[in-house]
Amino acid sequence: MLNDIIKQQKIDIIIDTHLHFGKLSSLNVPSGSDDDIVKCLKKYNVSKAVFSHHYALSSVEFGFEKTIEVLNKYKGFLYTYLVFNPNFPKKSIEHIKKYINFEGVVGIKIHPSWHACYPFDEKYKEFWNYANENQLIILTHSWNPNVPNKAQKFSDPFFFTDIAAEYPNVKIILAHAGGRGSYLYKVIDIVKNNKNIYVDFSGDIFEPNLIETYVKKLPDSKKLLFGTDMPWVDIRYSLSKILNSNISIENKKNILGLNALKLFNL
Amino acid sequence: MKQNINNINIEFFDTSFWIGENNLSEKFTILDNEVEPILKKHASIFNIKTTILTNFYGLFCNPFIGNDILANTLKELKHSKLMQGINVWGAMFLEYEMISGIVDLKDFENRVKKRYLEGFRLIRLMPRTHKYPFEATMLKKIYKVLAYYKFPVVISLDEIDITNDKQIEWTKLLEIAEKFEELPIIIDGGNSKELMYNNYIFIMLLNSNNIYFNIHNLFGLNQIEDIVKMGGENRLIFDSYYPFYEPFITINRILEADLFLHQIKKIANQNFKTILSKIGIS
Repeated sequence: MLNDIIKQQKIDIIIDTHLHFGKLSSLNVPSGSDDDIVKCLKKYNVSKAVFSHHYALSSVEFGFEKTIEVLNKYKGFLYTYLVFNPNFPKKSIEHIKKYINFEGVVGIKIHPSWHACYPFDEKYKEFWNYANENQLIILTHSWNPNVPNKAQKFSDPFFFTDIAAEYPNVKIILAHAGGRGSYLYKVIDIVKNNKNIYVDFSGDIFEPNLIETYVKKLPDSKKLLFGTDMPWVDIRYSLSKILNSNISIENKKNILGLNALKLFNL
Repeated sequence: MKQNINNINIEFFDTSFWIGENNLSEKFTILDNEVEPILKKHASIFNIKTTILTNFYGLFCNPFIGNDILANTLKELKHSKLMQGINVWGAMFLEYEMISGIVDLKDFENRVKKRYLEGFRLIRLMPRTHKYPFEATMLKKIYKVLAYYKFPVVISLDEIDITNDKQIEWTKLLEIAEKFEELPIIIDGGNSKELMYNNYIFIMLLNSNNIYFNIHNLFGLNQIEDIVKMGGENRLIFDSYYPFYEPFITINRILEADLFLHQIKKIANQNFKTILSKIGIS
């Protein structure tokens, strides 16, 4: 069914720009092994995928080790974001410098909520400077801060407008398009007004007509990216969201793969 | 183990379709005159042949009035010639009159029977929003009557996450299921990301026979398949969660599930039909 739509709409390139490998202490996903994820991606004709490792979000040293391990195992199919942890800024930066030119590394993931640290905090300073000097792509978690989960206050998408202006060589991807409620729409203006800010539609964001609104309100669909957030969200939901949206096939192709191809130079 | 279902007609029974004025969002408001065309569209595009409606008026204004308004909508829809082949039922809210009237069990029974005759087939419990207890001990008289009639209840995780920090007292749900074994209890994911509750879901399934789960928020990778593997094929209930989600989100997921065809059919419609067939009110 979904593959039939992919075939009918002649979508040749699908790139998942946001997913995770590895276990997480708070998550029991029996059919969520690395192989299960890769099998699922390939079943739906995903040609390349960019992951950040759960362990890399939860542990600096071990995380880098595991990231490279997965990268080596699925060479040519998987690409990765290294993770910067502001709670270990020195160590984290050292590892990033060591691995940034490793084959398959395409950018850095930050997760201000996970690490309970605002992205404008002093602890991020060296990281942003380094990212700017090296013209890095940064994927950041972003979410509406006005939700019951208090940790989301660290990931307000508006924080990144100042950062994007201060570090113009950095390309920032706002994951989950702001996450919930009105922020899903406020992010449209952020993307529109900041040439180095992109957005991905990964995660459990299923607001009707959201994709259509982004495409309609932005000059084009070139800064919109497809992501699943697996294993948190099954690819079958994420693909349905884009494939069934009421936008042109050209825009679907851009979102599902072509934009990522260009952005990451894959 | 996946079946090729491209050419097989799978009928869906949607147990969660919200209508009326959503006081928090015009976008999620479905006016009376929009209900029928949407139901017809869902039937023709997605093969949703039966739908349980819930009315926002009952949520935001008053359970009794909301139930009355929905009863009227159900009546009109049932009389509409355009609704041929499409069935609608209602989910009602627990009315305050039902709670205060519980001193007389007969009065409560009569109120439930009246609503049943009006087309209601499900009670949506709203302990947090409507401020009443849901525990087995606190609501035992109500559960006793509902269990006697095997009248299903649905409760959203959002409604029992009292402190709003995802610390849900699952034991309380299990206690209701244990004490009232004939009471079908459907757990609705609401807005929760249910993957993080997998350990609870698995254990709830293993320790009960009358706890069911709506599927609309079982987003996790292979989560539906994993629940089925844990013995849940009879315990998953399809719902679209419309208008918050477009039906294709959940329909595609079920049609694409790595399950046997008979399991897909159970989730799509049969499990809830079985619950309905056992309601003992005539």
